[in-house]
Amino acid sequence: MAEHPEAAPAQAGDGRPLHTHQDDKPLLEALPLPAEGTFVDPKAKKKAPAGEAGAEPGVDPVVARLREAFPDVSFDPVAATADGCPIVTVPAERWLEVARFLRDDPQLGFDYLSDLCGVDYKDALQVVYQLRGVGHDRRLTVKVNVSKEQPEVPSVVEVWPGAGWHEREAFDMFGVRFSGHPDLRRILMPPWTPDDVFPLRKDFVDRRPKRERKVRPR
Amino acid sequence: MSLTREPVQPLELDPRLGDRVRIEPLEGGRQTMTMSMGPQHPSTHGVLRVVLSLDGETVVDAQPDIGYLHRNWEKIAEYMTYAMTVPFSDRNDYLAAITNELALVQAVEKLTGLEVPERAQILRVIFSELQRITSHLLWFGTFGLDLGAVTAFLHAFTAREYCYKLFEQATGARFLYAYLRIGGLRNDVPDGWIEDLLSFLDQLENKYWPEFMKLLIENPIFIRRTRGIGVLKPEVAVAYGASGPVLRGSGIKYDVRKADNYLPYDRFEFDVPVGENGDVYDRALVRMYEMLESARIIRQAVKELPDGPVMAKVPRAIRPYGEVYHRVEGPRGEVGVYLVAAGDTNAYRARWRSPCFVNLQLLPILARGHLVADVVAIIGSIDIVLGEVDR
Repeated sequence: MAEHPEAAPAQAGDGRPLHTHQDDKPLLEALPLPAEGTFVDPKAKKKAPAGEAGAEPGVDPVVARLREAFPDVSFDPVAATADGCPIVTVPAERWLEVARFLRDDPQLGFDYLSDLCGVDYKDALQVVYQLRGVGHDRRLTVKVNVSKEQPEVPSVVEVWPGAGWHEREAFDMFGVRFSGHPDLRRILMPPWTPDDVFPLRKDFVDRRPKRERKVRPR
Repeated sequence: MSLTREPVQPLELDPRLGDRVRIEPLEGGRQTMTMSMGPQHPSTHGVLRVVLSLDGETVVDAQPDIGYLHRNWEKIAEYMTYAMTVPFSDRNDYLAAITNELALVQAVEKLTGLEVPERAQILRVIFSELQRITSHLLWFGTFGLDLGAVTAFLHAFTAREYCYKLFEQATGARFLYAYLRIGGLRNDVPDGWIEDLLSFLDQLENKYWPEFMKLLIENPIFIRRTRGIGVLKPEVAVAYGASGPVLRGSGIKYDVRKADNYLPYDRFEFDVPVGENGDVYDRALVRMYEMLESARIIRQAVKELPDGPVMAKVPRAIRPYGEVYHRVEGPRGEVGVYLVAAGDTNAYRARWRSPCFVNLQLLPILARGHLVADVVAIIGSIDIVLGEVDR
């Protein structure tokens, strides 16, 4: 981090840092990683046990093609988003290989990275990739889970160059380290932000003094 | 020219400028000069700072520096219920509030499985397309202003004012509407509004649009300033995830309205204008013709507008489960919303995919080798809104 004129450590009145990941009780609660791949309504599952047999996400042609090409990789948990886009989970160490295949395989052809973002869970950090293609309507959501102690994900800049700024943002907000990224530094937060502060994590606490607000009693 | 040379190690760094500024030696004993364009520069359309490395007046490198308007929409959205997030999403791209609301509202509707009444759907089409026209009119005015054409700006703002009057009549606000609701619209359009809308379209198609073409787009000075400047190759545009007129200016016929059909766009006939060379001029032409196509969609939508309610029955507390990535075609490109819902009234994670953020990434590629004055034209042709870049 370059020395900046405004780099003086920001402190609250009691001398502790303004932004921290410790002491105070965070307002948001981190949930554990859902075992089904996505959050599922517990009541709806009991109501309709086999109602949507046709919507089995495992039979999606994109997922089937991936399973065929990478028999040694477990893509579980496989799920689907609310609008039916298949979700696969890829281990971080195989992700770059799978990403190249997803782009180059003529049956898949995901040449358009629509979005890349991080999600913070209690036990893991997750990077979510939304893949689309320009010439077809196949869709895929890829999730890569990494531990909070070693948040290292291979960078996909060489596969989809547009991931560059998205990865910088995920690093800025969640602290996910993208190995192989050519220019991994903060993008939205100011450059004098302390190195261990990641604002979109659930345990992030903003300890700036609250502004006095007059609230009318209800 | 020394532009094809391999980059060399930086000679000296000025600590005040941060670590991204390089002063490099060039041929003949010269050095690159580093210049900061912005953050308060009229051509940067907001608080964007571009760090230019110059060889004389030729751009060697142009690195955007963003984050000046950052207020972390994604974090704030985690503290708010879904309905409370809608007005705040207006503030992201404040020139295209309707498409912002649409992306968010439809994402929540997908999560909850809500059926929206047909009248509301068609009215949403009308408002999104009107918003596209409004946004492109503003782009036309300010783009002309960037290139020194003040007259075009004044004419464009006259037409744009007409648009905002229409928005004000229907929604009560000129810019930030909070008009779409989860499950429909806040209110129906007032009596006589459709006639006003159609008379505006008549004026746009017959009076304003031909005037704009003559004033600016067919102007020889404009053509010389924009032809062959900032060329974006189609494969680069796709690889970088560019969207909207930036992608289509390069000749890729890709439109989320056609690809995802998130509103009943398949019922209307319209073309997707594409460019040929991918330069600034093509991107300008794409936006000009998109205005006409939007007008065409609105005319068809008005004919098909059914009677009925504009709001569905919505549960008092929305507590969905699951996740969704929903995207719509905003005036600047693909606006995406990724929601993770864990059965609470608030989203567990709300992510905003901003088209400007992705398109701005292309600035170093587009600007390299051009003159400083061309950087102004290139930034204008990307059509960024910094409120959405920084979110």
